[in-house]
Amino acid sequence: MEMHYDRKRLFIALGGGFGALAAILVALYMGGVALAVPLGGIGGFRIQADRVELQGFSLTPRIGDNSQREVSPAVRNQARTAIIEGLVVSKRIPIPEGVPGAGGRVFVITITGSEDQPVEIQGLIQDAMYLQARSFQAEALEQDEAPPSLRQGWEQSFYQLSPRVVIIGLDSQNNYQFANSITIPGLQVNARLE
Amino acid sequence: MRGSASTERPKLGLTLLTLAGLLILWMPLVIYIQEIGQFSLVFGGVVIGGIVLGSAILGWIYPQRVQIFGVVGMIFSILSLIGALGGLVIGMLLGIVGGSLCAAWAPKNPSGEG
Repeated sequence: MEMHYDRKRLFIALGGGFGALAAILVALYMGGVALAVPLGGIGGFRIQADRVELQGFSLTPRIGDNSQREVSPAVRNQARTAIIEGLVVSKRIPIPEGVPGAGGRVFVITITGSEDQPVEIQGLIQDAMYLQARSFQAEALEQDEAPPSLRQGWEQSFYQLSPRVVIIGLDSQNNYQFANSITIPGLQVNARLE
Repeated sequence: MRGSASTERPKLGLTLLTLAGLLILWMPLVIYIQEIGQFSLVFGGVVIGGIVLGSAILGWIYPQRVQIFGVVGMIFSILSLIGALGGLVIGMLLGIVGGSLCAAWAPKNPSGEG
């Protein structure tokens, strides 16, 4: 029997597929999800937050790079989940002198979320050059180093592990961030010149 | 000579679905290999891309069930929006169109309708 593309079935399938896609997009929008995608590698940037709760936390040393330096020592923070209140992510980009009207100034981009609902991140990896906080609480914090015979790399010469960490008043400079998914209710992106 | 219903394949639909699977799989797989030592953070994206690609491969192998594989590939192409950025969106769109073409693969009526 000869086969072909049945036009009626094709339209039904396309309608169902794009209808389902539209339903997912509407559900994401209604749920306040601004981003639910992998993010990675946005260069040197600053993260501030009123309160950060990390579950499944680990910290290890790492050599990274950023927009200013080829080689930059950092600590790699990893967490299964992160709940962040009062998040402000900002990046400052100096504008070359030759740019008319804006030369010599600094382009600042700032990302914030809703003040009422926290930002939720699944699968966080973050390389920080500098970290400062008003307080740091950790449950069952384990700080150790792998014995030389068991080390697979120099990064394992020091580590911190904790099932739950709470940081109040965080201010950090970061090289790199990867998140498996981010939910930012009430996302606002602001760009200005300083 | 024309092939039978069991050997003819919706080549355009399966090609698009194969490309969709490769595109959806590409980004999470690269991140998984390069960045992830300990955690399986992007594993969901790899699984979704793998299912789309697997559906296309099974469609090539078992053309008599290509409609089911097309629907499965289309559903997981849509789901790839979460976890794999929909294969940079292009993969997701190719998967929807390719999966729909596979789902629409049917015997031709003797009257020529359809």
